[in-house]
Amino acid sequence: MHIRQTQIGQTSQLLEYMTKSQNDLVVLQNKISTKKNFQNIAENPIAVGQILNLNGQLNKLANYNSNIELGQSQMEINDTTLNQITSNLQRISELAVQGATGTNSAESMNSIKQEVDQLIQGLISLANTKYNDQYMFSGTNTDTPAYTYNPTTGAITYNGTKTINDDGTKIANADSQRKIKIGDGMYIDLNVAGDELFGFYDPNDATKSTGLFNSLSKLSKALGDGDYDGVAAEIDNVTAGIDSISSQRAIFGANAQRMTMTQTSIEDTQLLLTSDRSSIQDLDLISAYSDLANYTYAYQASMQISSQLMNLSILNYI
Amino acid sequence: MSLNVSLGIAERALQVNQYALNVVSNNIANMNTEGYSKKTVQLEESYPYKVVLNGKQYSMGTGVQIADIVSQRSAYFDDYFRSQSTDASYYSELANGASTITNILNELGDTSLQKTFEDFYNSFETLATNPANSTYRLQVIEKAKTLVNQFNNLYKRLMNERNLMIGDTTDLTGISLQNSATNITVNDINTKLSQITQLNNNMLMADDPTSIIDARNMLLDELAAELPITTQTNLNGTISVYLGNQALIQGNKQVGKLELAQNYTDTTFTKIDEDNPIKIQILDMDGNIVNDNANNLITSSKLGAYLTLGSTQANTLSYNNVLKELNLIANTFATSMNNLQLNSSSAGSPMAISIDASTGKKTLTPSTKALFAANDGTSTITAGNITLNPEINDNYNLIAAARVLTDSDGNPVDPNAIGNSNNALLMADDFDASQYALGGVSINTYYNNMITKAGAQANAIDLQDGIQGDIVKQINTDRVSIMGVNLDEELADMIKYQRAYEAAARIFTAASEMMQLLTRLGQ
Repeated sequence: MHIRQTQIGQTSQLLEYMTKSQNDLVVLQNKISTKKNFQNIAENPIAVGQILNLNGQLNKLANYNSNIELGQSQMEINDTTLNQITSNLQRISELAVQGATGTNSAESMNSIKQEVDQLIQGLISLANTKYNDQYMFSGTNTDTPAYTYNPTTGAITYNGTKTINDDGTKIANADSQRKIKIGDGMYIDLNVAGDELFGFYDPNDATKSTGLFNSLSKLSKALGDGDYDGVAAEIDNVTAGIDSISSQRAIFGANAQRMTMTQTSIEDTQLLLTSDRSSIQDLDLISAYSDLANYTYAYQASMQISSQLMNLSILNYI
Repeated sequence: MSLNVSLGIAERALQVNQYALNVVSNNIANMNTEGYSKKTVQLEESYPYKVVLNGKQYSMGTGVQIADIVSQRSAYFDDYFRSQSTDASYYSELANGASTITNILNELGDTSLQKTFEDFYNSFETLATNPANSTYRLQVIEKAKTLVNQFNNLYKRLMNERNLMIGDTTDLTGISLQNSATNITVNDINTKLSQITQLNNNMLMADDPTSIIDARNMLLDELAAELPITTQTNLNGTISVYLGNQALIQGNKQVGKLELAQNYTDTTFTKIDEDNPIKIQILDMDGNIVNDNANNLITSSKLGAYLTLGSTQANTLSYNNVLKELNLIANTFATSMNNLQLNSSSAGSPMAISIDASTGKKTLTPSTKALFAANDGTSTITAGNITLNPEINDNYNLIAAARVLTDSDGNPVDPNAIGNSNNALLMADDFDASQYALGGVSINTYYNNMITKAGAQANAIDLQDGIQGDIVKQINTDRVSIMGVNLDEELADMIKYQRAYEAAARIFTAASEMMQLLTRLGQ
């Protein structure tokens, strides 16, 4: 098949080959310098959709991870505080046993009472621990101290979010939990309401008093009255209080454990997704460099041929 | 019969070969001229006359003459090239627009809208861990401002590009329409129409129309790239130009011209139709409107690309379509967040925090201020006007992180529950919550789909652009091979005519010498 050649046709054809080679080179250089397969969403729409998806998932996982960090530190503080509270209560328990012995004199009963009262104040203070500018045991009333003590009446009033009725039964849907999200639909409770652990005490109304503080206040009164039987009656309550605090520590421990396991799983998933994303988005440097060599050679060849062809003319011979 | 005849033949041969050489040198001179068609001289024997010799009739030649100067063009390839180049310039212009749009959207870059969205929603999750914390609240505000800024920027950049192309629809003076790329193209089209008409006229009056035909073809090629014209060659050699069934040039008269006008929604001329902001009108030469809206005739070529990119046609990539989607996302986002910020549900009512001026005590108070608003006073929030409510910006405690049960007056049952983070958690989850306005998918999914769709459409346009470009190049190669100048041919012809000239000159000399002999005979 003969096609008649013309000067215009020939030069525009040669120019086009050179431009194409040059273009291929420039695109490849761009890829190598950014180390990415594509820069623009139009280059590979399907891959772009996948990358957007992966980016979104990785973002979420990073967020869950940082939430877990927050949660872990909260659990640690919870545990430390409850530990100190338990120490206090154990000392009170010892003192109660001592006070229940019928052989104590009035003075020794008095000094036992002094120490117990001190320890109770210590407990109230511990119950009002603040972490991150929030009162830990106030439920969602985080700006309000959990307990106030009236030195005149001896009342220990709970000011946090109520989760316990006056008779000691639990309120349904008390909404006292502070939560963080560690996964899709997975939340961890960061706190426990003070009244659930410690109760409250109203000196004028026994029906409005319940829990540990109720028992401790009655213990203190019994010590002051020299009521050995009264003291003995509270020993079991104090022990029960220590047990329920241990249970709560176990719950916090389980939370911490769950968060650690979730964190491991998150890290594994992050690794997987990152390598998925990398396989789509990242340039295969080895094949890119070999392509670079090929394209450079093609470009040089097209330039060489063009210059040779353009120099050939009948005018050289006439 | 005399030597004069030989002299005459030789003289004519000299002239003819000289003329043929001129044609060859013209071809060589125009070797690189675009759109030049090579001219070929066709020679023929001039009309012989009869002689009677010895009672017999003989035919005596009288030399050579030029039969015709033929221009090497193929009308078939010319038409074919024009029709394909109309489509090629359509896709080329669409590809330019698509490239601009995808560069603006730039979701694979470091500052993607997706990342900004994620950061914003994450700030609510952080807030949920300590809702009264001022640092966390300030962070929510900062992320919100970054998000609305990015919306505004995307909107502005896309709008700017669109307005450069088809004029600003908020400018009722018409100045930006005049300066738009579309208007420049329309003016160029009108100029070319009048130039082609002029050439048609020149052609009728010229003796040798071949160079006029070349110039006219160049203009028609350029016009075909800008407007999807069809042409018809008339018997007298003029070319008529049609847009659809509407004649723009008939013979040697221009009968129509184009005008770019704004498309209003009604006869009060106060509001421009956002979906189809511009229309092309066809006027007659007196200025009367012959076709008020010829947009449906212009489905290809550069002008067609401008019309597509600047309107809201289904399933195409256009500035309007992308802006519409962006506006929908911004509006759904703002409405959904405001809903969580202000409206009660079965779980309770949203609560902001108020601080007692004297004691500094923080309590919950019903939330009454929206998070997002339109910064231009209009009632519909778009990507262009979305902004953080200035009242929220001034007082970060108005962000409703809590959602609690209320009494019959709407006041919180427990005003001290400032650590309640139910609303903040709901807000954090809103990115993936199903939205009715988006057809049941979440903002996250809808946005991802929008980006993927734009990328796929741009990809398809690029592909078409490449294919059409190749087609046009191929046709042009064929066309050029018919009408282009080959240096070897011309130089060979040059030598041919040069030798013939030499030979004719030799005859002239010979006849001349023979004449001299004759004159000396009588002496």
